[in-house]
Amino acid sequence: MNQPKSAAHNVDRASGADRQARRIFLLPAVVIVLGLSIFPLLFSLGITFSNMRLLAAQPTQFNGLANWARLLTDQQFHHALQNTLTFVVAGVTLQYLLGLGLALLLNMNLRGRRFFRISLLLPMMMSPVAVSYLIGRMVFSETYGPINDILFKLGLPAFHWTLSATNSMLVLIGVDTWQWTPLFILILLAGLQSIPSELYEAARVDGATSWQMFRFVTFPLLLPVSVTAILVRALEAFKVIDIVRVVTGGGPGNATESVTLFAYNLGLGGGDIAYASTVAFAFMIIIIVICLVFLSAVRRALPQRG
Amino acid sequence: MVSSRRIVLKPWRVAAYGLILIWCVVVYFPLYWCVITSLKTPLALMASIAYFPWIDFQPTLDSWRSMLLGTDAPQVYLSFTNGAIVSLSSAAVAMFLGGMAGYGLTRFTYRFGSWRNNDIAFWFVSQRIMPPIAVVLAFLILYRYLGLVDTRFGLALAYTGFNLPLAVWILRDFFAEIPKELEESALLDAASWLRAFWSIAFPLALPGLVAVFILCFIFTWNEYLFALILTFQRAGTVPLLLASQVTATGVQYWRMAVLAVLSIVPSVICAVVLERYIVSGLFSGGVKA
Repeated sequence: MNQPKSAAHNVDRASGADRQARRIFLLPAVVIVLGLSIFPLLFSLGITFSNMRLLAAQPTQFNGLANWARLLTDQQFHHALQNTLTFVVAGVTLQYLLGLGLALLLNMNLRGRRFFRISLLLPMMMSPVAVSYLIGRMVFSETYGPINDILFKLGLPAFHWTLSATNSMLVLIGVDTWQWTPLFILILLAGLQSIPSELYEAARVDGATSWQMFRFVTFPLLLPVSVTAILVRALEAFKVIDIVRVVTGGGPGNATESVTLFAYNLGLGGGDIAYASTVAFAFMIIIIVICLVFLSAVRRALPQRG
Repeated sequence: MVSSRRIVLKPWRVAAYGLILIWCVVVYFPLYWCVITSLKTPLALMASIAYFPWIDFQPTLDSWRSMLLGTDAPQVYLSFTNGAIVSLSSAAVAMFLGGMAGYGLTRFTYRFGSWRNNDIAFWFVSQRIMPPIAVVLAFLILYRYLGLVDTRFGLALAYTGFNLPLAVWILRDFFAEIPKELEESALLDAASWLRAFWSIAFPLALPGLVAVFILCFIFTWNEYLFALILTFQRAGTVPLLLASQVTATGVQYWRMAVLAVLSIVPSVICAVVLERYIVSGLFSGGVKA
């Protein structure tokens, strides 16, 4: 065990060793996050005040607030923002409700837990691009997919979605729900298992029905975990681009275009890096505001928690 | 005693199994469909919608042969090699540096202005709020100056910054569970903090480190936006290869199916390995924090 070590260790043992060690542990991570996250973010903020293009036709110049002014009246940005909000609110709500229901079922000590847990992890471990192919492109394929074939065999009308804005959005939400409902199941299942069984026994002694036990014991105790899970999931859902780009390409028209896809098309398709960065930066501010509003609303709804 | 009770099947229990069975069908049917699609010939695929190999269509390995041995093979191998190198290296660096930071945040008291350890940890994890599109365009401009566009190193570097905050957050919880006393006795033996970390805390936190490594690996393996913007031909990863199938003239389901099945293999392995850590409470611990 006592093999000779590098000089750095000897320095550590000298005076102020603790202070030195402290820095060695935290510094690399801080430097990487500053360099690869904070610096690009500030750089991107700088770009929003310029006229930078991807292929420099003219030298990059200071452009004042022109990009931000353009953003305020850009119908396509507002539309993309609306699409993204629909995707997040409808999708995450659906995933939470399904997740809660399935977590309550799985909490009943059924057999085959290991198999269920692997089945829950599997969709989350897959690439959203692969999931988009599996569900959006193959299973929901209008001509070669099994869904329409089965509907046809049952004598039901076919599900046409590629030309319908609403149905295209439904397919996108379906793809996301297939992949991410398991996250809610896993988190809520962990929450359910941490509720002490004495609470249920006490409720049973008081003659509570199953619904009353859910309404007054299970649900309130799951709320903090639920809020965390919804917030984490919504933050990820806001960033959607892969599902949209593979399944609908933002179409029909731009009916399902997300903000990230919109900014990508502006920046790499149109070469307008400055305006694309403005869209992206504004989007980040909007996400932060939405999170803060959500959290303060939750805090107001839970006054009894001290 | 237990088995005699199980014979009486209560109706709600049957209903619960039924509902969970439906969920399992929803989860596994698309995977099954993808696998059998990869076994159909283009002609069979266009001719009819078939569900069962050997019963309503004759499975072949033609698509697999053409993707793995045909003219597309070099691009397929390159994408999978790129994905493996980029994901493994960025996950290893994120795990190691995240482990050090997580350890530091549970063993020392840091002061940075008015910030204490909890604020620093929150600063790390708050990076996840930022939509990646807000930085990735800046990455593209910076990488063009540095000559890092379309390189594995550049992509791995970007992913390391992307994965590190989560690694710090999870591993801080892990090291908090490991009693300090074990290291303190080592420090009395005149070992340095670094050696206490390396030879005592690091091995004890191994389950957490493995879990974080797997999570970082699979996030990187699956990530699309960074790869889309920062790479073209040489350093592209698997999701990029997969997504490029859609822009080709006409959608070639058999090609997609083969690539999708291949891309899912690491996902299956990660799911099976990670399952153990759910039991040991990795996720429940993260939720309580």
